Amino acid sequence: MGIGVHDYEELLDRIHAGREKLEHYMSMVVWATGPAALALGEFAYQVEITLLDAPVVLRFWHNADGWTAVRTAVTAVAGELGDGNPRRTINDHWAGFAADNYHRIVPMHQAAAAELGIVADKVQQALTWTAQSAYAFYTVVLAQTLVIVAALIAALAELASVAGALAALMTLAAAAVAGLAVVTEALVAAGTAYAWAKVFVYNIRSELNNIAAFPGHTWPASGSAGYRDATVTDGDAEWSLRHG
Amino acid sequence: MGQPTPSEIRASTDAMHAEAAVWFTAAGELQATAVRTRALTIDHYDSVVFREFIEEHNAAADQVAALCQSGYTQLNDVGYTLGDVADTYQAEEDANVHAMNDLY
Repeated sequence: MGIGVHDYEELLDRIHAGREKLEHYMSMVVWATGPAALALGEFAYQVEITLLDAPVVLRFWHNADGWTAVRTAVTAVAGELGDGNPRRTINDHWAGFAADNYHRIVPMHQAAAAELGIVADKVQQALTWTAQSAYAFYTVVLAQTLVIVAALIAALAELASVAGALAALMTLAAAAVAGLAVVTEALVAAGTAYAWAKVFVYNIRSELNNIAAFPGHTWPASGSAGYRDATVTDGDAEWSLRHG
Repeated sequence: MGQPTPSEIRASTDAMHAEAAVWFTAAGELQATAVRTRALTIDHYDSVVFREFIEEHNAAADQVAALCQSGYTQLNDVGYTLGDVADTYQAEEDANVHAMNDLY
Protein backbone atom coordinates (compact mmCIF):
# COMPACT_ATOMS: atom_id res chain seq x y z
CA MET A 1 0.00 0.00 0.00
CA GLY A 2 1.33 3.44 -0.89
CA ILE A 3 0.93 6.64 1.01
CA GLY A 4 -2.64 7.89 0.97
CA VAL A 5 -4.77 10.78 2.04
CA HIS A 6 -5.11 9.47 5.61
CA ASP A 7 -1.34 9.30 6.01
CA TYR A 8 -1.14 12.88 4.81
CA GLU A 9 -3.84 14.07 7.21
CA GLU A 10 -2.12 12.28 10.07
CA LEU A 11 1.19 13.87 9.12
CA LEU A 12 -0.38 17.33 9.09
CA ASP A 13 -1.90 16.74 12.52
CA ARG A 14 1.54 15.82 13.85
CA ILE A 15 3.12 18.88 12.26
CA HIS A 16 0.49 21.16 13.79
CA ALA A 17 1.06 19.54 17.19
CA GLY A 18 4.82 19.94 16.75
CA ARG A 19 4.36 23.54 15.73
CA GLU A 20 2.33 24.24 18.87
CA LYS A 21 5.11 22.77 20.98
CA LEU A 22 7.67 24.78 19.05
CA GLU A 23 5.81 28.03 19.70
CA HIS A 24 5.25 27.09 23.33
CA TYR A 25 8.93 26.47 24.04
CA MET A 26 10.00 29.40 21.91
CA SER A 27 7.86 31.68 24.06
CA MET A 28 9.80 30.44 27.06
CA VAL A 29 13.09 31.60 25.55
CA VAL A 30 11.73 34.76 24.00
CA TRP A 31 13.88 36.75 26.40
CA ALA A 32 16.95 35.13 24.92
CA THR A 33 18.30 37.46 22.27
CA GLY A 34 20.90 36.86 19.63
CA PRO A 35 21.33 34.20 16.98
CA ALA A 36 19.16 31.61 18.72
CA ALA A 37 16.03 33.75 18.67
CA LEU A 38 16.68 34.88 15.11
CA ALA A 39 17.27 31.36 13.76
CA LEU A 40 14.29 29.97 15.62
CA GLY A 41 12.10 32.75 14.29
CA GLU A 42 13.20 32.03 10.72
CA PHE A 43 12.55 28.33 11.13
CA ALA A 44 9.08 28.90 12.62
CA TYR A 45 8.25 31.33 9.82
CA GLN A 46 9.35 28.82 7.17
CA VAL A 47 7.13 26.14 8.70
CA GLU A 48 4.20 28.55 8.84
CA ILE A 49 4.63 29.58 5.20
CA THR A 50 4.91 26.05 3.86
CA LEU A 51 1.83 24.96 5.77
CA LEU A 52 -0.25 27.54 3.89
CA ASP A 53 -0.41 25.16 0.93
CA ALA A 54 -1.18 22.08 3.01
CA PRO A 55 -4.98 22.32 2.43
CA VAL A 56 -4.70 22.47 -1.36
CA VAL A 57 -2.36 19.48 -1.29
CA LEU A 58 -5.06 17.64 0.64
CA ARG A 59 -7.39 18.51 -2.23
CA PHE A 60 -4.83 17.02 -4.66
CA TRP A 61 -5.02 13.73 -2.76
CA HIS A 62 -8.81 13.69 -2.97
CA ASN A 63 -8.80 14.74 -6.63
CA ALA A 64 -6.39 11.95 -7.50
CA ASP A 65 -9.06 9.53 -6.29
CA GLY A 66 -11.67 11.49 -8.26
CA TRP A 67 -9.68 11.16 -11.49
CA THR A 68 -9.25 7.47 -10.85
CA ALA A 69 -13.05 7.22 -10.77
CA VAL A 70 -13.23 9.17 -14.05
CA ARG A 71 -10.72 6.80 -15.64
CA THR A 72 -12.67 3.78 -14.44
CA ALA A 73 -15.94 5.17 -15.85
CA VAL A 74 -14.67 6.10 -19.31
CA THR A 75 -12.66 2.90 -19.60
CA ALA A 76 -15.88 1.02 -18.84
CA VAL A 77 -17.60 2.97 -21.63
CA ALA A 78 -14.84 1.97 -24.04
CA GLY A 79 -15.31 -1.65 -22.97
CA GLU A 80 -19.09 -1.53 -23.40
CA LEU A 81 -18.69 -0.30 -26.96
CA GLY A 82 -16.19 -3.03 -27.77
CA ASP A 83 -16.91 -6.14 -29.80
CA GLY A 84 -16.39 -8.23 -26.70
CA ASN A 85 -19.58 -6.94 -25.10
CA PRO A 86 -22.02 -9.90 -25.26
CA ARG A 87 -24.98 -7.48 -25.39
CA ARG A 88 -23.74 -6.25 -28.76
CA THR A 89 -25.06 -8.83 -31.22
CA ILE A 90 -26.19 -6.54 -34.02
CA ASN A 91 -23.52 -7.89 -36.35
CA ASP A 92 -25.00 -11.39 -36.04
CA HIS A 93 -28.34 -10.16 -37.38
CA TRP A 94 -27.78 -7.29 -39.78
CA ALA A 95 -25.72 -6.49 -42.85
CA GLY A 96 -25.91 -4.02 -45.71
CA PHE A 97 -24.89 -0.45 -46.51
CA ALA A 98 -26.30 1.09 -43.33
CA ALA A 99 -24.86 -1.67 -41.16
CA ASP A 100 -21.42 -1.06 -42.68
CA ASN A 101 -21.72 2.67 -41.97
CA TYR A 102 -22.76 1.92 -38.42
CA HIS A 103 -19.85 -0.46 -37.84
CA ARG A 104 -17.45 2.21 -39.06
CA ILE A 105 -18.44 4.73 -36.37
CA VAL A 106 -18.25 2.39 -33.37
CA PRO A 107 -14.43 2.26 -33.07
CA MET A 108 -14.25 6.08 -33.16
CA HIS A 109 -16.44 6.36 -30.06
CA GLN A 110 -14.62 3.54 -28.37
CA ALA A 111 -11.27 5.25 -29.08
CA ALA A 112 -12.52 8.59 -27.74
CA ALA A 113 -13.59 6.98 -24.46
CA ALA A 114 -10.28 5.10 -24.22
CA GLU A 115 -8.35 8.33 -24.85
CA LEU A 116 -10.20 10.05 -22.01
CA GLY A 117 -9.17 7.14 -19.81
CA ILE A 118 -5.53 7.84 -20.67
CA VAL A 119 -5.98 11.53 -19.93
CA ALA A 120 -7.69 10.85 -16.59
CA ASP A 121 -4.89 8.47 -15.64
CA LYS A 122 -2.25 11.08 -16.41
CA VAL A 123 -3.99 13.80 -14.42
CA GLN A 124 -4.28 11.38 -11.52
CA GLN A 125 -0.56 10.61 -11.78
CA ALA A 126 0.36 14.31 -11.77
CA LEU A 127 -1.79 14.95 -8.70
CA THR A 128 -0.43 11.93 -6.87
CA TRP A 129 3.13 12.84 -7.75
CA THR A 130 2.67 16.38 -6.43
CA ALA A 131 0.89 15.22 -3.29
CA GLN A 132 3.54 12.59 -2.55
CA SER A 133 6.29 15.16 -3.06
CA ALA A 134 4.52 17.43 -0.60
CA TYR A 135 4.20 14.52 1.80
CA ALA A 136 7.94 13.89 1.61
CA PHE A 137 8.60 17.58 2.20
CA TYR A 138 6.26 17.82 5.17
CA THR A 139 7.85 14.70 6.65
CA VAL A 140 11.14 16.59 6.69
CA VAL A 141 9.39 19.62 8.22
CA LEU A 142 7.97 17.43 10.98
CA ALA A 143 11.30 15.75 11.69
CA GLN A 144 13.16 19.05 11.91
CA THR A 145 10.43 20.61 14.04
CA LEU A 146 10.75 17.76 16.52
CA VAL A 147 14.55 18.07 16.53
CA ILE A 148 14.30 21.75 17.37
CA VAL A 149 11.63 21.19 20.01
CA ALA A 150 13.98 18.67 21.64
CA ALA A 151 16.82 21.21 21.42
CA LEU A 152 14.56 23.84 23.00
CA ILE A 153 13.69 21.56 25.89
CA ALA A 154 17.37 20.76 26.45
CA ALA A 155 18.30 24.45 26.25
CA LEU A 156 15.62 25.43 28.74
CA ALA A 157 17.11 23.04 31.28
CA GLU A 158 20.55 24.57 30.75
CA LEU A 159 19.27 28.15 30.85
CA ALA A 160 18.45 27.62 34.51
CA SER A 161 22.14 27.67 35.24
CA VAL A 162 24.10 30.77 34.36
CA ALA A 163 27.16 28.74 33.47
CA GLY A 164 25.42 26.66 30.79
CA ALA A 165 23.20 29.38 29.36
CA LEU A 166 25.53 30.66 26.67
CA ALA A 167 26.48 27.22 25.42
CA ALA A 168 22.83 26.17 25.43
CA LEU A 169 21.80 29.16 23.34
CA MET A 170 24.60 28.50 20.85
CA THR A 171 23.60 24.85 20.55
CA LEU A 172 20.00 25.88 20.05
CA ALA A 173 20.94 28.40 17.38
CA ALA A 174 23.00 25.77 15.58
CA ALA A 175 20.05 23.35 15.68
CA ALA A 176 17.69 25.99 14.28
CA VAL A 177 20.09 26.96 11.49
CA ALA A 178 20.69 23.31 10.58
CA GLY A 179 16.94 22.61 10.66
CA LEU A 180 16.24 25.55 8.40
CA ALA A 181 18.91 24.35 5.94
CA VAL A 182 17.43 20.87 5.82
CA VAL A 183 13.91 22.23 5.27
CA THR A 184 15.16 24.55 2.54
CA GLU A 185 16.93 21.66 0.82
CA ALA A 186 13.75 19.58 1.01
CA LEU A 187 11.81 22.52 -0.40
CA VAL A 188 14.13 22.62 -3.42
CA ALA A 189 13.58 18.89 -3.99
CA ALA A 190 9.81 19.33 -3.71
CA GLY A 191 10.03 22.27 -6.11
CA THR A 192 11.81 20.10 -8.68
CA ALA A 193 9.14 17.41 -8.39
CA TYR A 194 6.43 20.03 -8.67
CA ALA A 195 8.02 21.52 -11.80
CA TRP A 196 7.92 18.07 -13.38
CA ALA A 197 4.27 17.61 -12.43
CA LYS A 198 3.44 21.02 -13.89
CA VAL A 199 4.97 20.10 -17.25
CA PHE A 200 3.25 16.73 -17.09
CA VAL A 201 -0.19 18.21 -16.56
CA TYR A 202 0.50 20.80 -19.26
CA ASN A 203 1.26 17.99 -21.72
CA ILE A 204 -2.09 16.44 -20.92
CA ARG A 205 -3.66 19.26 -22.88
CA SER A 206 -2.01 17.92 -26.04
CA GLU A 207 -3.63 14.54 -25.36
CA LEU A 208 -6.97 16.30 -25.28
CA ASN A 209 -6.16 18.00 -28.56
CA ASN A 210 -5.56 14.60 -30.15
CA ILE A 211 -7.23 15.08 -33.52
CA ALA A 212 -7.50 11.34 -34.15
CA ALA A 213 -9.58 10.73 -31.04
CA PHE A 214 -11.36 14.08 -30.94
CA PRO A 215 -11.76 15.45 -34.47
CA GLY A 216 -12.46 19.18 -34.33
CA HIS A 217 -11.59 19.07 -30.61
CA THR A 218 -14.91 17.50 -29.81
CA TRP A 219 -16.40 14.05 -29.40
CA PRO A 220 -16.74 12.14 -32.71
CA ALA A 221 -20.07 12.64 -34.43
CA SER A 222 -22.72 9.92 -34.29
CA GLY A 223 -22.76 9.77 -38.10
CA SER A 224 -26.38 8.67 -37.82
CA ALA A 225 -27.26 10.00 -41.29
CA GLY A 226 -25.34 7.04 -42.67
CA TYR A 227 -27.44 4.36 -41.01
CA ARG A 228 -30.82 5.80 -40.13
CA ASP A 229 -32.62 4.66 -43.31
CA ALA A 230 -34.56 1.55 -42.28
CA THR A 231 -37.44 1.70 -44.73
CA VAL A 232 -37.66 -0.49 -47.82
CA THR A 233 -40.42 1.65 -49.31
CA ASP A 234 -37.72 3.62 -51.15
CA GLY A 235 -36.75 0.50 -53.04
CA ASP A 236 -33.70 -0.62 -51.11
CA ALA A 237 -32.85 -2.33 -47.85
CA GLU A 238 -29.91 -0.44 -46.36
CA TRP A 239 -30.36 -2.54 -43.24
CA SER A 240 -30.46 -6.07 -44.54
CA LEU A 241 -31.25 -9.14 -42.46
CA ARG A 242 -28.76 -11.96 -42.16
CA HIS A 243 -30.91 -15.08 -42.26
CA GLY A 244 -31.19 -18.55 -43.59
CA MET B 1 -32.34 -18.63 -49.30
CA GLY B 2 -35.96 -18.20 -48.24
CA GLN B 3 -37.64 -15.35 -46.50
CA PRO B 4 -36.86 -14.84 -42.84
CA THR B 5 -39.44 -15.99 -40.36
CA PRO B 6 -41.32 -13.50 -38.16
CA SER B 7 -39.42 -14.78 -35.14
CA GLU B 8 -36.08 -14.21 -36.92
CA ILE B 9 -37.12 -10.67 -37.71
CA ARG B 10 -38.28 -10.09 -34.14
CA ALA B 11 -34.97 -11.44 -32.82
CA SER B 12 -33.10 -9.11 -35.17
CA THR B 13 -35.03 -6.00 -34.18
CA ASP B 14 -34.69 -7.01 -30.53
CA ALA B 15 -30.93 -7.28 -31.07
CA MET B 16 -30.95 -3.80 -32.50
CA HIS B 17 -32.88 -2.47 -29.48
CA ALA B 18 -30.37 -4.22 -27.21
CA GLU B 19 -27.56 -2.55 -29.16
CA ALA B 20 -29.31 0.81 -28.71
CA ALA B 21 -29.52 0.17 -24.96
CA VAL B 22 -25.74 -0.29 -24.87
CA TRP B 23 -25.35 3.21 -26.32
CA PHE B 24 -27.87 4.72 -23.90
CA THR B 25 -26.05 3.15 -20.97
CA ALA B 26 -22.70 4.42 -22.21
CA ALA B 27 -24.20 7.87 -22.83
CA GLY B 28 -25.54 7.98 -19.28
CA GLU B 29 -22.12 7.06 -17.92
CA LEU B 30 -20.52 9.85 -19.91
CA GLN B 31 -23.03 12.38 -18.61
CA ALA B 32 -22.41 11.25 -15.03
CA THR B 33 -18.67 11.49 -15.69
CA ALA B 34 -19.09 15.04 -17.00
CA VAL B 35 -20.75 16.03 -13.73
CA ARG B 36 -18.12 14.17 -11.68
CA THR B 37 -15.28 15.83 -13.61
CA ARG B 38 -16.70 19.32 -13.22
CA ALA B 39 -16.78 18.72 -9.46
CA LEU B 40 -13.02 18.14 -9.59
CA THR B 41 -12.36 21.80 -10.43
CA ILE B 42 -10.07 23.18 -7.74
CA ASP B 43 -11.19 26.60 -6.58
CA HIS B 44 -11.38 28.56 -3.33
CA TYR B 45 -7.65 27.98 -2.81
CA ASP B 46 -5.42 31.00 -2.83
CA SER B 47 -2.17 29.18 -3.56
CA VAL B 48 0.71 31.08 -5.12
CA VAL B 49 2.96 28.02 -5.32
CA PHE B 50 0.46 25.77 -7.08
CA ARG B 51 -1.38 28.41 -9.11
CA GLU B 52 -0.15 27.27 -12.56
CA PHE B 53 -0.64 23.61 -11.76
CA ILE B 54 -4.18 24.26 -10.58
CA GLU B 55 -4.95 26.31 -13.70
CA GLU B 56 -3.73 23.52 -15.98
CA HIS B 57 -5.58 20.93 -13.93
CA ASN B 58 -8.82 22.91 -14.09
CA ALA B 59 -8.44 23.46 -17.83
CA ALA B 60 -8.06 19.70 -18.29
CA ALA B 61 -11.09 19.06 -16.08
CA ASP B 62 -13.18 21.55 -18.07
CA GLN B 63 -12.13 19.99 -21.35
CA VAL B 64 -12.76 16.42 -20.21
CA ALA B 65 -16.17 17.42 -18.85
CA ALA B 66 -17.07 19.13 -22.14
CA LEU B 67 -15.96 16.09 -24.14
CA CYS B 68 -18.01 13.79 -21.93
CA GLN B 69 -21.03 16.03 -22.33
CA SER B 70 -20.72 16.08 -26.13
CA GLY B 71 -20.09 12.32 -26.02
CA TYR B 72 -23.35 11.94 -24.13
CA THR B 73 -25.18 13.76 -26.94
CA GLN B 74 -23.54 11.75 -29.74
CA LEU B 75 -23.93 8.36 -28.06
CA ASN B 76 -27.57 9.08 -27.33
CA ASP B 77 -28.06 9.96 -30.99
CA VAL B 78 -26.63 6.59 -32.00
CA GLY B 79 -28.97 4.85 -29.53
CA TYR B 80 -32.06 6.73 -30.70
CA THR B 81 -31.19 6.11 -34.34
CA LEU B 82 -30.83 2.36 -33.82
CA GLY B 83 -34.09 2.32 -31.87
CA ASP B 84 -35.87 4.18 -34.68
CA VAL B 85 -34.38 1.81 -37.26
CA ALA B 86 -35.61 -1.22 -35.32
CA ASP B 87 -39.07 0.29 -34.86
CA THR B 88 -39.35 1.26 -38.53
CA TYR B 89 -38.20 -2.15 -39.69
CA GLN B 90 -40.59 -3.95 -37.35
CA ALA B 91 -43.51 -1.68 -38.32
CA GLU B 92 -42.92 -2.36 -42.02
CA GLU B 93 -42.67 -6.07 -41.32
CA ASP B 94 -45.94 -5.96 -39.40
CA ALA B 95 -47.47 -4.15 -42.40
CA ASN B 96 -46.12 -6.85 -44.75
CA VAL B 97 -44.05 -4.28 -46.67
CA HIS B 98 -40.95 -6.47 -46.84
CA ALA B 99 -42.77 -9.40 -48.33
CA MET B 100 -44.55 -7.21 -50.87
CA ASN B 101 -41.25 -5.71 -52.03
CA ASP B 102 -39.24 -8.87 -51.47
CA LEU B 103 -36.70 -6.77 -49.62
CA TYR B 104 -35.23 -7.87 -46.31
